[in-house]
Amino acid sequence: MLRAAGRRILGLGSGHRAPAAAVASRGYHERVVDHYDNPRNVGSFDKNDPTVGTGLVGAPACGDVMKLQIKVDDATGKIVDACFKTFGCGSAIASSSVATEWVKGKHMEEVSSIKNTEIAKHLSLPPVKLHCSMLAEDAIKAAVKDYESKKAKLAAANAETAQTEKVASA
Amino acid sequence: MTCLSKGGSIVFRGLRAMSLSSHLMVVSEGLANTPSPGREPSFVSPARCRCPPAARRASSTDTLPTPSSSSTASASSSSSFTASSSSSAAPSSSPSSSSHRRQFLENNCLNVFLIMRRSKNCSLFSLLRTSLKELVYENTAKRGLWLSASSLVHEDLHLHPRILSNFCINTRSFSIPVKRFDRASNCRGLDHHDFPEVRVSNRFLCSSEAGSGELPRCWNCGGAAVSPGPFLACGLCGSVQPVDQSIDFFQIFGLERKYEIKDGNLEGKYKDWQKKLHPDLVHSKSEKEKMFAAEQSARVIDAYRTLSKPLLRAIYLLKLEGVHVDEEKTITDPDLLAEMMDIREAVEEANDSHSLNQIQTQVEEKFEKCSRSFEQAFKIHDFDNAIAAIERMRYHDRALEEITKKL
Repeated sequence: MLRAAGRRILGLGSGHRAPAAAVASRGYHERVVDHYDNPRNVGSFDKNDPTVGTGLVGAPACGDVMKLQIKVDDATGKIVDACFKTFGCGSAIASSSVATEWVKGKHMEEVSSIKNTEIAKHLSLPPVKLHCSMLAEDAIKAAVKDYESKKAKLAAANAETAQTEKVASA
Repeated sequence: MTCLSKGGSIVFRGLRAMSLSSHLMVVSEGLANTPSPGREPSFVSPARCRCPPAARRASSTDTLPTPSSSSTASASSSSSFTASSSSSAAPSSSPSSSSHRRQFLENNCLNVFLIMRRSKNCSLFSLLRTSLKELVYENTAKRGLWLSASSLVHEDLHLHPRILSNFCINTRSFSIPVKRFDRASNCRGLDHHDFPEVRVSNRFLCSSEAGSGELPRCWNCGGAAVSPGPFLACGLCGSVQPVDQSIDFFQIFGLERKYEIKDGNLEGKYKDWQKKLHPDLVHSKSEKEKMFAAEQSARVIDAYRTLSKPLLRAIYLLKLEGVHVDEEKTITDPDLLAEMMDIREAVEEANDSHSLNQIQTQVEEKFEKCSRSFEQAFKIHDFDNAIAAIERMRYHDRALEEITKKL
């Protein structure tokens, strides 16, 4: 049921689903097809959860939207879970799926060093689809940034409440 | 300057007696022998490789139909041209001599250009082209002028052997103020697409001075373009004309360059054009005309498609103004993206056509709003806002596509 929901959310239709490695020159790479058929980590987390960072990016050229969310363990700074939601072409979906897979279990600083070229190479993206991998990289960075800014805001808010408490008790 | 002029005059006198074709041999040999300085490799190679066919052509084409006085004039101008080119081939790295050389080149180019135009001798075209290229890249004040001249030369070379008569430029247009040509230099991407962009400015002059300047002429019957409107097919003999890149899509449909097109009757005009230009109508004609027909009708199809879709029309309008919409950067505008995310999710979840239609009308309304804001921004030339409006339009357009797919 989840898979069906996932399929719908990803906007899967009858689209171009070239057979895996047979049509090497013109078809999608088998990894891309795999991510399309068996989407992993599709879903969403609660946006207001303080441990969740949300990256929302778009590509003006094709009108794609990509949302990537990471759940971070505050103590260790490691990413424990990630999920994504992408409206766009197969390459965009595959890129974001790969991004969520790679991001899991890594430290936040490490994750910022994931390059779009690695994603593109992993999926054998043709030149015309390289911007999809760029989008995925930007989504990761945006998610990390969002988490950090949330943390900073929370820290500032806590400091304020602590101060007011001190003043009250004094 | 004096040493150059002396050398020039000596060569001048020496070469005056020779015919045009032998000039060419001398020039090409001279250029081939001189060690080409790093600045002008273009002088040597094209001249060398173009020499044999050009020489053959020179001997086969008619020599000057004009009286002998102009033949000596042409000989003298071509010899002065060769003088300038040989002097330029000589190491003249000093700045003062380069500016004089440039002036020399300019004057000679002008003369040779006009002579060639009259004599229809294409053998010197290649040399003229290389020198024009140099002038253009040196970024002179009259850059626009030389750009347009070079585009004409390029065009003629391309269409050799039959030199086109639809040559709009005449001596008068050389004195037209430089600001007209600035249009060409202001177009972005000029460095990559010199020739087509420049033809915009050149032909723009032409079409705007319809009464005063020379009209484009049919390559087949030589008749001038009489009817109003873009010259895509000859009114007299019906031959399809080669594609003129400077006629923009709006001109093809006789519309003003605005975003709003009311009562444009695009479809009617489109069908009218295809009745004249469609490739199926030129089965029995020459290969050249078939090619023209294919290109022209493809262009008209492109124009129709671009103008009938608001988003494409908007992008095209900006392109005509020289504004390039950068599509590579990712955008992180949270409001727009969150909105689009919601819309797309709603589309995915909606299963019946009723709710889909509802969403569709909503999105269409939003699209209209973006459309209006684009129009406003474009009118006041606020290109940043125009680009932002285009982005929004694209997202909404995409959403509408998805809805249509689902319906």
